[in-house]
Amino acid sequence: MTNDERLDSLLDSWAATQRLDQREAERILDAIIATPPETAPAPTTLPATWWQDFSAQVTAAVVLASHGPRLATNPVPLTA
Amino acid sequence: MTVTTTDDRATFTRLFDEHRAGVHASLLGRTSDAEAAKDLLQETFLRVWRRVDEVAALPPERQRAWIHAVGRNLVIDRYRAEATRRATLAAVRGRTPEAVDDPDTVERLAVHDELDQVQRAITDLPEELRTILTMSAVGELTSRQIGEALELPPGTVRAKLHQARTRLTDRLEVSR
Repeated sequence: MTNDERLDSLLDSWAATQRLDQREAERILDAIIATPPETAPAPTTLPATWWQDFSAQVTAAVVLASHGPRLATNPVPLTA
Repeated sequence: MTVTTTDDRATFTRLFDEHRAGVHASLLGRTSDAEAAKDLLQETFLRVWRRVDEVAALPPERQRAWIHAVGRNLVIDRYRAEATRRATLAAVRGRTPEAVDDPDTVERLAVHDELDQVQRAITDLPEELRTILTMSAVGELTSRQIGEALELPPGTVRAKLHQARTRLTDRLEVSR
């Protein structure tokens, strides 16, 4: 027997004592599948749509504030 | 709320059957602790179960890498928690962390037969070599599969496997 064969034989014997047996694997599988699906955590922050709306409102307010008053292009004629 | 379906269960069972031996071997290699490896295996696949749709959507080689990365992170978390626990115990007892009883040392005194010698020799390998050797011997993974799991080229895996075997041969005096 070569050194490699001798080592393979030792490793095979050792590995056989280390493998998870089928019954244990099934126990683990069953335990996991029996776990109820994870409930999504309650949101702790505002939803993204709220921030989009808020951002749009801020932008609109900034734009409005940075422009002068609209010129009267069509003045109402003065009447006597 | 996540709702699992029969399809989810079938997908998960397929992932579990396909990867559990390799993941278990990897966890065993990293921890050298059969009970810890079982606990970590369950925890790893519990995380897969919770994100089964996401994992199933990955290409096969990425699935392996994803699942093994979860296992690796859980081992790191466990080491950290264990180091903290030992340091706390040592502080309470007024001893240094190194002085805490080492189960490996106790075990070494108790075991004598050939398989125990193999176990000790493997336990004493550096973690990376030990993990690769265990994934090969216990998990029966190919170099390519080990490479996918550890994100290493297959050639590197083969070189490290050779290194591990050489060290074991020397340690166990296989050639005697």
